[in-house]
Amino acid sequence: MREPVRKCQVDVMGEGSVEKNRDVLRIFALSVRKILEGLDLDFGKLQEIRLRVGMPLILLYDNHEYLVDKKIVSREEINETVEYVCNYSVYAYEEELRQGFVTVQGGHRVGFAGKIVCENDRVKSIKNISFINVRLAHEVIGAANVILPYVYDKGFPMHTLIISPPGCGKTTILRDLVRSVSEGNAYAKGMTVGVVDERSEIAACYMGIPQNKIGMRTDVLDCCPKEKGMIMLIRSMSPKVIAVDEIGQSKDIEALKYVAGCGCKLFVTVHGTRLEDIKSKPFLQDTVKDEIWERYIVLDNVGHVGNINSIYDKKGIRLK
Amino acid sequence: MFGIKACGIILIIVASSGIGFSISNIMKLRLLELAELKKLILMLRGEIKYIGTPLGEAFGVIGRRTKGIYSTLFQDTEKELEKLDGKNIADIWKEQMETAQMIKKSHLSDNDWKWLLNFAQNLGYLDKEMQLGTIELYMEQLESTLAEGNRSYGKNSKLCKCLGISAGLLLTIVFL
Amino acid sequence: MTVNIIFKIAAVGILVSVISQILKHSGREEHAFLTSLAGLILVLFWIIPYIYDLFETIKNLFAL
Repeated sequence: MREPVRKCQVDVMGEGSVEKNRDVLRIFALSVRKILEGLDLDFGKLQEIRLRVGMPLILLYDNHEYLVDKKIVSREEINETVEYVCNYSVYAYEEELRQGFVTVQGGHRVGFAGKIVCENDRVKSIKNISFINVRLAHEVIGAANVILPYVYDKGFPMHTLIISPPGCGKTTILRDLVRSVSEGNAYAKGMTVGVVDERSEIAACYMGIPQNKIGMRTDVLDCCPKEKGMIMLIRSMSPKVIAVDEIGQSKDIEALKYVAGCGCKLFVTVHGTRLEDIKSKPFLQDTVKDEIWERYIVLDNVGHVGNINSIYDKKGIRLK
Repeated sequence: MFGIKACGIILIIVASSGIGFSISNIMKLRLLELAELKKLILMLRGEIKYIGTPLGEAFGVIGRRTKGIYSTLFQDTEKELEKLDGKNIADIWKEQMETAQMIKKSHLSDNDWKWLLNFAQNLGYLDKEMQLGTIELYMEQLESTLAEGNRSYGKNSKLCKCLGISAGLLLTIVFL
Repeated sequence: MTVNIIFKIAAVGILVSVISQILKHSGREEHAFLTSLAGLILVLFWIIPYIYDLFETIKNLFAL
């Protein structure tokens, strides 16, 4: 049965996601909630909300920092917020608290800091949470449209390495690439994609359900170490493509080689500013030498976040 | 004349025995409800210990697995908890108890309700070990109340029934 | 004074002692005591008019 090929639309912060972001207010203590509602914010531009005990409320809005200085955050408000974030059940979020963040409904990341309780050199839990950072989810549908034509070869995706400095939107582009490949686009039908979401940033699962749009044929391993997750996905979910974010260590590379050897394609991101950076990284340089990667995509934020600087093929010949 | 007297006598005896039997019945129902409550708290412990379900969902699951007065109480509490309206859990529980008119409709004593409310105060903000600890404590409390209740029921039920009948007879004689 | 009252007193006596035994048996000594007392007072309540009559009659008989 032939699948209808869909067109991708660019939908930067469409109406649906703004409403989703407004819901983030529900996790705050009542008093803080009232103040935030009174500020009449555009939730499309709101990026972070920070609460610190005894300090004013701080917002990161449209890349600028704003202080709500009439409001000093109290310990009770922080405790109340923690209670709501954990759905009144702190015991149920022990694992998340150990990692330092909780993903709430809507895909927003709530980070916690406070007194860490260690046991046998492992972080056991956080006590006395006094600092909260709420990062609102901002998925950009259509962010990967520009690179789509380069990622496909005869209707099949290629091993793609996305190289980017921090803050240039690589996760956003990876997410949209996953969505596009999973749903199907002008270049190919939709296919099964597996995502190893170690830091819960790509899919932002809440209670096991991805809060970001990542495609109907996508399976997610949430908070799973990359090297184990990739092998698990190959064995259990038979994906055609596996996507991981920020590789760097040798065990990740071993797993990558295994996946490539199984015939599954890879979409991977890595820190760096240019292709040459990768050639000098200790473990990655082998993969470059063996020509595992069929496409290299370099990002920067010239002009706008997520700007495509250049695209290279497996031999390093520049395509764009 | 005699007929009316006979009716009167029968009415008094029946009424008095009825009171005796119904007091005995209330005691039995209270014990049954306490046993049911204990079963539900056991389920709650299981949900928290082995699955780590958040409270709202746990209440919903428990509410759907039981019938009777607790069913609506637990399920409505789940709905309130999901609203995240800014109330703390003990207040929500208390409100729900009042809306469901639990105290009137059920046969538990005031003391039993006080203990349950106390338990609700300690839900949610503790880590897993301590949370399970408070649940264990409340379960012990319930068990001891149940044991005591069973003992006294054995004694008192017969007592109430006999007293009911004899009081009826006595009143008949007095008013004959 | 009819025979009825004797039957009534007898019945009250039996019932009060039964109730008293039941209460004592289940450990409620004070309640048992109270019931016996109540029964006694009730019977006295019935008897006193007759005793009063008795003393009146004796008074009248001996014209004291």
